[in-house]
Amino acid sequence: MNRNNEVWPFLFLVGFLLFNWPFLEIFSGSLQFYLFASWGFFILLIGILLAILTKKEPK
Amino acid sequence: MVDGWLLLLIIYGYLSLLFLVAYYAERREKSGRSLVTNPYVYSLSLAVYCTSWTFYGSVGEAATAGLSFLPIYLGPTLMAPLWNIFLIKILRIAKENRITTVSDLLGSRYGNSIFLSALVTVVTLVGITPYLGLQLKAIMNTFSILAGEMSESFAAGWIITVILGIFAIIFGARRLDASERHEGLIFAIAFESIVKLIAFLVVGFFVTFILFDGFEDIFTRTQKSAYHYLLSIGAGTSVNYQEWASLLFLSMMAIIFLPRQFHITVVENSDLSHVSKAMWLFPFYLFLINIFVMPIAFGGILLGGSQLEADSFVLSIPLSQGKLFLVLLVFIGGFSAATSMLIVESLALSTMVMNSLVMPFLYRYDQIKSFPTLILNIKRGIIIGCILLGYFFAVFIGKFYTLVEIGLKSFAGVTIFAPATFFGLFWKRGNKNGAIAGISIGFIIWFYTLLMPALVKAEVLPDSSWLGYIMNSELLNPRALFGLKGLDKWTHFLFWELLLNTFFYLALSILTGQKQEEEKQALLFVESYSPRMLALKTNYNIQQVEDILGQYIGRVEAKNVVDRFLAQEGIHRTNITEHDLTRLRDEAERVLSGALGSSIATIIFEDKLTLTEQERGELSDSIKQITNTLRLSRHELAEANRNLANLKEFSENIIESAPVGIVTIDPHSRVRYWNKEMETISGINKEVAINRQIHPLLPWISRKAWQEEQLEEMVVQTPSRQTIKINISTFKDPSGGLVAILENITERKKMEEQLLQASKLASLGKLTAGISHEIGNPLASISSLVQELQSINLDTPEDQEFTKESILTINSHIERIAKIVRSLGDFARISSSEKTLINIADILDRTFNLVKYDKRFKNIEYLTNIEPVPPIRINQDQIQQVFLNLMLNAGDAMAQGGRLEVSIKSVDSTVEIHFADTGQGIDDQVINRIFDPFFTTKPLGKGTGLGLSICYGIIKDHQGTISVKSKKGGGTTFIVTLPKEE
Repeated sequence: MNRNNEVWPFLFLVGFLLFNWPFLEIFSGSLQFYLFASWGFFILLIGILLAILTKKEPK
Repeated sequence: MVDGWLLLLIIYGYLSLLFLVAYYAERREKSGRSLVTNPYVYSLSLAVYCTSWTFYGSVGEAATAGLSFLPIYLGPTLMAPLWNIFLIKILRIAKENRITTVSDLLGSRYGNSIFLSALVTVVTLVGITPYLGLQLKAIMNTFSILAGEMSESFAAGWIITVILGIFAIIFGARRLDASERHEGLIFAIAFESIVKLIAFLVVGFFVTFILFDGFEDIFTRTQKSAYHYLLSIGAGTSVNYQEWASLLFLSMMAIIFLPRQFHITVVENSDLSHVSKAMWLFPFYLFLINIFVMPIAFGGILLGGSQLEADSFVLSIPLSQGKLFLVLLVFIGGFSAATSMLIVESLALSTMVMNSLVMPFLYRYDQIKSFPTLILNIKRGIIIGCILLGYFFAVFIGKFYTLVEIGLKSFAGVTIFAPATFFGLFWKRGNKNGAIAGISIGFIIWFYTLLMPALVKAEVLPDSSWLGYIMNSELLNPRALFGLKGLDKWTHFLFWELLLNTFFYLALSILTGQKQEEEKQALLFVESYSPRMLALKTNYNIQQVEDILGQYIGRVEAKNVVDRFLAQEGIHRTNITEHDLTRLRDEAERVLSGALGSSIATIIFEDKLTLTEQERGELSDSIKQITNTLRLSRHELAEANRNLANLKEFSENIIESAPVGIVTIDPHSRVRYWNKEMETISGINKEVAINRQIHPLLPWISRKAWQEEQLEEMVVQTPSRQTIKINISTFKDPSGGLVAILENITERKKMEEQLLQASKLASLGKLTAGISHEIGNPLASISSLVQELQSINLDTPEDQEFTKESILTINSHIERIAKIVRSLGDFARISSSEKTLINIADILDRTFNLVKYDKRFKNIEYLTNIEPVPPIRINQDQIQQVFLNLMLNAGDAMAQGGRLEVSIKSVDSTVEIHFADTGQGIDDQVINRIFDPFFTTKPLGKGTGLGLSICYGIIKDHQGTISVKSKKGGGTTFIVTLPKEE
């Protein structure tokens, strides 16, 4: 697995943490806002990483 | 209220619009200007995931259980980052192996097993039927909300089902498709995705910002109401964290294994690069379509709606506000969401049923008249059958459950394939027995814990008798198998299903073996190994390939396929090579796979284009060779790896421990290796030296020395006054470069100088007797003359004359003594290491001036024969030492007298000095050892044995040679050669 491919399982783990306990418990005060904000952030992160890694790939 | 016939007309009109959209896309594809082969259409087509469950069911779920609707969309978002790894792998394998369904994927992986493929198809059919029913239920519910009476709704349900079935056939089964891709269908799905998104966003905007004052208003009011628990999860709410996690997992599996998702994601993919864009575009679509779910759900409750009817809030809210246009838009949106799912899912299911259940029996009857038409009609029948099954589920069972409940059962159903698929992609040992066992037990768990309670609740199965007894028992309660209580039904199912499925898969894979076909397929899948290397000789022709294809897809279509292939490859029918014929066969197999499945297509071609015995043998040998080669066990590889690492460490230790500096440089003079001793010699650490240019690191070595044409041994002085001997040679490595060995000879040089000095003094010692005699005689004469002078007067001329003559004589003797002392002093001083240009004959003279005082030389005739030679660069003290040693040795050999002849001559690029005596000679047995240190033929105490070895060392230092010729009793000749100055 090259370095580019290692990013994705890591991002998956980040998302798994974001969308589960204990973060859900921590933000239980305004859970709907937390979930949509973190969801949006996660999608943005995917997009940014794709843009960076696509640039780094040799033509 | 809206007239039922108007609604049917709208439905018909919308479906016709979809058909036109699809038709337009297909026309564009045929003209080479495809609308579909771009990542945006691909990403939008993935939104077939959002069905009426999303449109209606999510709102219903949010209104009754709060945020628990969200995991269904967070799951696919979470899986998106992993698409770059495993989805790309599945796509490559699917394209390489002509896989068109999930059952094809699993059947192909596990040894092209038709039984496994059939098992997966049956499980999928049973598992997805509720999901089909969900869509039809949503359509019928919304129809009845808008049109009113239930009886008409029931009839409408039938009509809609039939219409949808017909349109599904039109979209996906107009012909027995030569290609598994349907560009028209995909474009229509993408179009529907936009329609349902717009519809939902419009109604969401209406509820949030027109009926209420935005998100803040709705959530604040909900928080203050009795429904505040809908805004939380965990203890005291409708969904706890474990159920949340289970729902997340179910949706993560669904995005891969739902037949429609597999079809769109894998089979309809035209370019692997589209996956990257879809990785964020598709989750973004899910994000957008869910923004207004909670506002609509909570808005509906706050407006007085019942939680039991929350599934239809999307429709009922605008209806209650009299917004007819919005109502129809929502209806179309919801219908769109349901239709896309129904069409794609029924198409995918029909392909699975055809490939795995029907064709294995039917393909042998290809001689039946109009066989292609028969196959096509069967496929159409299967599509209608799937939709009808969904209808019956919706009518008889669906009424007892919400849309979400129904949908989750299907999600759970496809999770059964997860262990066999994921292990199958990454673990070669997974075998068919394991897959069959795992899927079977998974299906049993699913049916027993999720579907059977639904069937009992719907009274399809009786609650009484033995079934009721078992289901109500402590041990086999479907909600608490083996007494495991306290889990929600999804977590409970997942726990037992994954545990037992994985256990049986692993156990049987490990305990039972694989057949050859399974091994080959495992290699193809796990190693993504291209099957093209197994191409065989051909014993068929173009016409035969076309005929076989024509039997299943029609002659005209078959001819088109062949002609298209030949045109694309620029091949003429009459001039096709064996290699191209093999590729044509591959293409034909690929085309047939799209219609009948890859396993059947392979069987058909292998059956029709029979392999000869030799070819079967070759194929078998190829596979055996590959599997044997690849069967180098992990243990052996690890062992080899360890040995290699040990050897590397051992070699490195040798080099690091060596008492000499070792440095290697590459062809660009950059340091590649720098051992420990180099750090000591140069004072530069390895980390600093590596990859640096060699010249700045070792400036005391000239650049010329590193030029490959001039590799030689040399001795240099460092700035810290260390003497370093350097050997540079070509590095015999494919990378090229040079290797230099540096030896610190400072101490050795000092010792050599001390030894030389001692040898000189020893030589001097030999001359002592003669020299003391030479000095003593004149001294005695001087003494005698002085005494005489003391006693005379200087009155007479005779006395004056005597005095004058005596003074001259005394002066002459003093000069003579001074000369001897000077010679001795010159010889005895500590010699410098400098080499100077000097006439070798002068050295010879000086040496003879010393030895002539030795009494042995009184009886020796000394002859010279000196030819003109150019000056040579030598250390005169050291060369004088050599000449002195050779002359004294000659003197020792001629104790009774003899002749010593010294000649100097020029020979090519050297000067030769011969010392030939007529002494006793050297024995043949010892002549080869005379230059060895401490070797002497003289009695003990008479010689140290170092003289000649020192001479040898001195001459070697001058890049010269010293050799000897001798015969016992016949004299000895020493020949010294020294290089001329260039």
